[in-house]
Amino acid sequence: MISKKINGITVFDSDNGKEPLIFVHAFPLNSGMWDEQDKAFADDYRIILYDVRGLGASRQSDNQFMMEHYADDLISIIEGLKLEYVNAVGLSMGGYIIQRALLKRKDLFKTAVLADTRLENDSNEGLAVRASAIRKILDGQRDEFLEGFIVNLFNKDNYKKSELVNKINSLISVNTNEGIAGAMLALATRPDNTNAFSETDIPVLALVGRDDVLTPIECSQKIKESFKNSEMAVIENSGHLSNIENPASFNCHLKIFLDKHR
Amino acid sequence: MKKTKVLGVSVNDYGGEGIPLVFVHSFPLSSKMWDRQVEYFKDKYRVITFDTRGLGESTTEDNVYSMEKLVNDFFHILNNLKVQKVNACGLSMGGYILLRAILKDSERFNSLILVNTKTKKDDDEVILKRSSAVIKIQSGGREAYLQKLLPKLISTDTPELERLIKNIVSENSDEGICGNILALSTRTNTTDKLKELNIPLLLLSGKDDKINSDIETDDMFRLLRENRKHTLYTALIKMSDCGHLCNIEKPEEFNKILDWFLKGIEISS
Repeated sequence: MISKKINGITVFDSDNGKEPLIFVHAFPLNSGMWDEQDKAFADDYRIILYDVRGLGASRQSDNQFMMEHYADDLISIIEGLKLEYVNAVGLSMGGYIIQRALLKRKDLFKTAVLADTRLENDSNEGLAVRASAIRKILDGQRDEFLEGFIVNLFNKDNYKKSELVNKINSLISVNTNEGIAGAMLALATRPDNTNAFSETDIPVLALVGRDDVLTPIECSQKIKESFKNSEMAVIENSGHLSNIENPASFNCHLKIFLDKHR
Repeated sequence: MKKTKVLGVSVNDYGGEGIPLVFVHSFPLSSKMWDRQVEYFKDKYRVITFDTRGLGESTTEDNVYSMEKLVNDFFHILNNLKVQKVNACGLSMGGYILLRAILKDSERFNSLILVNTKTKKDDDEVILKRSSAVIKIQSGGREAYLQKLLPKLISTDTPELERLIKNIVSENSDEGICGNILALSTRTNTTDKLKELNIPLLLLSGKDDKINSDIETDDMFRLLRENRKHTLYTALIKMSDCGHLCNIEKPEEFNKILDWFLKGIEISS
């Protein structure tokens, strides 16, 4: 993997001349969450990973961003690497980012995989939850916030597996309070994509963990219904982090989908 | 006047007896936009103004906050000044802050004056406008952004007023302005709760407001009239030949309307 900086964003690029496959990570993690996918697809694809603005190795001095900043970053990475198009995989926040980038620059995406994500923007209740989370993180209660947050990322059984929970904790640990709060605020500023994709005809795969409580199965069903050329698969034995909780199944569905459209 | 800082927020307390009159300013100005109101009301009421977090003299290191933070600041100010109840007047963003605040704790309000504001949250079009504004300001386009925005705040070309507004805005940092745009983008919808409010309410709108259509205020008034008890004081006043910053464009008329409303609720209570 070669590390590059594009507009202040740290990008990891296998640069092997193969078909490009870019992964966009979830909140408040970083590109390290895609280890299992990197391993599984490295031989057949040009793997591109990056840390979303403010998180991981893309730390910023100023953490004021909105969802559109994130979408512009994804577009500028694709353009910066001089790629004609990409296959893009995003989980949760990564899915929101791909959705917005897709609406701005459909021509850059050959296929899109939207995992454990949703089309809708935050409800009143959702916004209130985010506001109190930002307050906690910036007022020195980061650990308290994370403890409550991480429980909901996994299904019950996987939450008992300390190696999984430790991995997530270590991914989060490199992020600053300001970076996490900035990302939280960016999530709160995302538009509603409910009816935005009726004209989008690229192949889309919606993936969702069977026991996802943050973006339940219905959210993926809506994604499937919203796109013209779409399919959906449920990942068993998994909560919100389906690529980490059940990588075998996640990778299998991803491979079948990508092969079909290659 | 006594100036204090409450958790980084700069507060001006002009002193006096009775239930205070608090003014909450609009974006991207500061408490200075209320100068003509302070002058007119400071001998009649205990007038309090403040700069929202990030703007005016409330410069803060951390400029990542949501609307909720601005609302909590409002309560911290009241607590710090040991004020129980207030008459509060908010214009545009100031109105958003007060609408959220009154939903959290209506006991702190004696009456509410909402000027050129609305209960609806941002729709997608507005959110996208806000994000392009933040991106523009962050990439050095502050002047271009303000040059487009500021003339829309008043109804006619009045160089003297434009200068006044420009001077107030020029004191604000890019980070402070962006911070407030971000906060505005995280507003919740307060429509459903508005009709349940049981305090006197005055709604004011500039007929030629280019930022917030006076239809928004009409909608709020209709909702209130259909749902509130007739015994509750509810008024809608439209100021003609007046834009978004009514209090700056037509200060005499604005002050008289407020004075009339505040006296009215004193008599009826």
